[in-house]
Amino acid sequence: MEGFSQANPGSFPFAPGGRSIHDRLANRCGMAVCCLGVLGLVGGLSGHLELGRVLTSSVPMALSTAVLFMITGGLLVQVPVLPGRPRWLSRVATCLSAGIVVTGLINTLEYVFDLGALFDPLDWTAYLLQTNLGFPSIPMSPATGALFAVTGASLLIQTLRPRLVPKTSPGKGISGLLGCLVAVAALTLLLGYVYGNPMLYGSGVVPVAFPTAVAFLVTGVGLVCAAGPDVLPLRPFSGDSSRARILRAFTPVVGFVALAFPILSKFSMVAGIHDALATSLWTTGFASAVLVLVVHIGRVIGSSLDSAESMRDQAEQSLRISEARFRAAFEQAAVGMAHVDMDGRWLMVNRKLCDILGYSAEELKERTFLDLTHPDDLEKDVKNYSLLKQGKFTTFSMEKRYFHKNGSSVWVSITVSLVRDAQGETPYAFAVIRDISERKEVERKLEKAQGYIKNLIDSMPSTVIGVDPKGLVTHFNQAASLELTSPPENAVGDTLEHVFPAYATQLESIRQAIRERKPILLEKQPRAENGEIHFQDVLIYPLVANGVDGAVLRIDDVTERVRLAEMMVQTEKMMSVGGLAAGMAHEINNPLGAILQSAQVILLHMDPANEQNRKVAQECGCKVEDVREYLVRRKIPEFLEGIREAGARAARIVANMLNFSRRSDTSKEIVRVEELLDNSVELASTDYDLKKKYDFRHIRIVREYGQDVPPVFCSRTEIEQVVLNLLKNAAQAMAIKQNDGQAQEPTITLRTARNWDRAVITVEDNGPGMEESVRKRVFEPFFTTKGTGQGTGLGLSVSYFIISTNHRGTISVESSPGEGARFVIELPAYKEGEDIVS
Amino acid sequence: VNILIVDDEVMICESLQAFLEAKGCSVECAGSAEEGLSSVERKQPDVAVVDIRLPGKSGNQFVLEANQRHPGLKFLIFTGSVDYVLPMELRGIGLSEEYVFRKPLVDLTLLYEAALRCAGADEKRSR
Repeated sequence: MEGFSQANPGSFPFAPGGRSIHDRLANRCGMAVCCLGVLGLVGGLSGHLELGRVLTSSVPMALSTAVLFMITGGLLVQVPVLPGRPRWLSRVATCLSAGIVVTGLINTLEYVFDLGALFDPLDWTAYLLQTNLGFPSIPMSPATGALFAVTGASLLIQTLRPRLVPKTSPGKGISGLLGCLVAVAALTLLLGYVYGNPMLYGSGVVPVAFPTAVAFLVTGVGLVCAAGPDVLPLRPFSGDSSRARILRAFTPVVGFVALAFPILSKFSMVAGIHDALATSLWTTGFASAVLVLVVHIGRVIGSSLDSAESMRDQAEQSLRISEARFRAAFEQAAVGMAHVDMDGRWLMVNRKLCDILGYSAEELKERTFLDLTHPDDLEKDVKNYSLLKQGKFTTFSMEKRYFHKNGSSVWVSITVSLVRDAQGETPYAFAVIRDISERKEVERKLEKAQGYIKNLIDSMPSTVIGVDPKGLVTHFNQAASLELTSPPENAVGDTLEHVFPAYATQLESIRQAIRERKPILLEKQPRAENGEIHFQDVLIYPLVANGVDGAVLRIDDVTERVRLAEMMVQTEKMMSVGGLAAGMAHEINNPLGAILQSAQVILLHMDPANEQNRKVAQECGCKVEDVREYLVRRKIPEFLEGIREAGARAARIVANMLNFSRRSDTSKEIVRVEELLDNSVELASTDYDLKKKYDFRHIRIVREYGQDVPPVFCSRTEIEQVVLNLLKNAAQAMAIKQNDGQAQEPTITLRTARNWDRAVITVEDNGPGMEESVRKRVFEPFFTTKGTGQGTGLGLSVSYFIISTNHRGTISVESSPGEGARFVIELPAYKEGEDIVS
Repeated sequence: VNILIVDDEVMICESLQAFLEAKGCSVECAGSAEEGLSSVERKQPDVAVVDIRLPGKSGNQFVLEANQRHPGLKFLIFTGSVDYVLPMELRGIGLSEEYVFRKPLVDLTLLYEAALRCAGADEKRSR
């Protein structure tokens, strides 16, 4: 029984062989019982009856008893391992157990009803064979039968469905108790033999043999062991509880003391010792036994108490250590930690939290977390906390702001969970608070940087589109979004063909750029837009950084630049023509003069009012009136007028072309721009052409001259010519508008201003303005909106040439239909010493 | 008003002569500076209309010489050269841009009026 002290709590004691000690004990008991049965049978069959009786005072064991013991022993060996054996084996075991019960009962009942040896299988066998086999007929005792009935019942319970029965079933308990009963009965029989009192082992009936009693004692122990430690009667002894340990310690001692008394008295009886001596011996022995017992009890209880105390100390010690560890972890944690009660009060806070919030622990404990939460985050936080309290979730995390003691707000990330005790109550919530101000600051900066970059890209006048290698749009800027054919929210992730069909043709180039990891520039790609040809530069550059594959398209509208370039080419041409014209001007102007003068003279000679005409007519025998009448009828004056008009036009063209040839040797001087403008207005009001067709005096001239406008170093006549040209154009344009019946007073506004080191001249009219398609071409040579014969189409291109080439300035125009036109001229301001150098 | 036209372009001379005569002036033509000078000697005209580019002596030279010989004579420059700039010598004898006309002249009346102005001023002065 001491072996149980090795048992671990909650698990069965296992022997090295893998089977538990009680199973092995049951096994050994079975073997022993089997051996006793074999001895009895062999003794009975061979005539050596002493083998079946051992003691001379005992009867020999009955042969049928011996057979039953062999079966019982075999069953005991098998019972512990039955759950792992085939089912048929447990069926056989059940049948055999039932057989033992039946045999035992019949043997008992024979005696009760005085039926003689009705049921002795061996006798029956002899009888059936009609022979006397020569071995003695030894009857079985009714007590033996009864014990076999009990033993069989115990075995029956254990062999019945061994797999399904749990180790702690009540059936097993009954089986164990029956085993115990067998053992106690057998012990009683044995005591009869010890004392030599036949009454205890059968007087008046067939007595129980000594080996039978021993076998039953062993059987009883085996049955108890087979029932296992989890049921009665072994259950109180098993396990690691103090009770079990004390029981295991006392039981053998008590048994020894209990047995010592009869053994001593028997010894004194047998040895014939005097009663007084025997009594004194017994008393001394008993007293010593009690003393030993008490000492043993004291030691066991004491050691139990000691170990219990040391365990408690150990538990307390480890509790203290873990408390200290927790405290240290709590206090020194790099994150803020707190216990918060259900109302939001801080119960316990650590140092980091105090650092984050700027309050001392005591100050915090007087406040709730609600007091310190930023109002914008309060609602969400309170909602989360109440949901947590209601058990909707066990933990929540959020990012929020607390107010620092100094009034600033602190971004934190919190994770709150409820702490439940064993009863399921929630005494507090545990919160982990991380200071994420820095992260938030970084996020804010990142956002700002991203916003800045986005702004940067969006502000670019270029169209920027990002695509991945599959041709899906990954990004596009503001300028690109104007070209979207579908809603912008669906554009990212869609194919380029679908979102920007205009650039679908570039897909092959995009693939090439990504493949070769080289940017590709496609210049002056023509593209029809609103019926006009536009030119675009398409730059495709692959994205190779960070391993992100894809490409970016940058598309610039270069229509204006292409036009300007074309214009410059044309201006160059005009210059060479101009150079030629200068050389030829005299040769052309003389014949032109002859033509024009002759035409005028012809008209003059048709005049009837002229005395000389009349005289010549008279000499010819006709009247001037008649001649004139004839000529008018034949439209001669109109043709002559046509000659004059055409000649005048040719003269203007020659004059204009000569402007292109004008070399910068034309004298430059330092001039105030206001003076230039005033002179130009003066010229315009006396201009012959202008006077003839548009009355300049009806136009209101508004002068808005700025302060501090720098003087310019320029050719006075040239700039005056440019401004005059603008004034003429404005007057003509506004005359057209007036003809449209617009009531607005025609006004030309002249402005001057300073733009850094440049003087800015603005000539603005409130005429009909112009279409964008016209606006872009006004500086082109020979581009005119005026009817044939009214303009050469050279005025503005000459102006452009004068301003840009001769004066390194710029001239541009802003206009839209109905809004008038504004021409802006910028000229470099006069720099000290410029005149001397040139 | 007596007017002398000095121009090597025959059609210019003739048409101008016809025009001025129609306006009531008496007109003499000369094809070169030399011819013009002799004409100045003979006819004593009030006004000379002078082309600049001439065979032989230039118009400018003619004006200077004619002025020396006949100080009362007025001059109108009538040239086909666009880049003609009035020389300082001519400015010195009283010419100005006002008396410079460039070919082609669409309306000859301008020239006629200028001639009248010169002659008129001269007459006023002589009176």
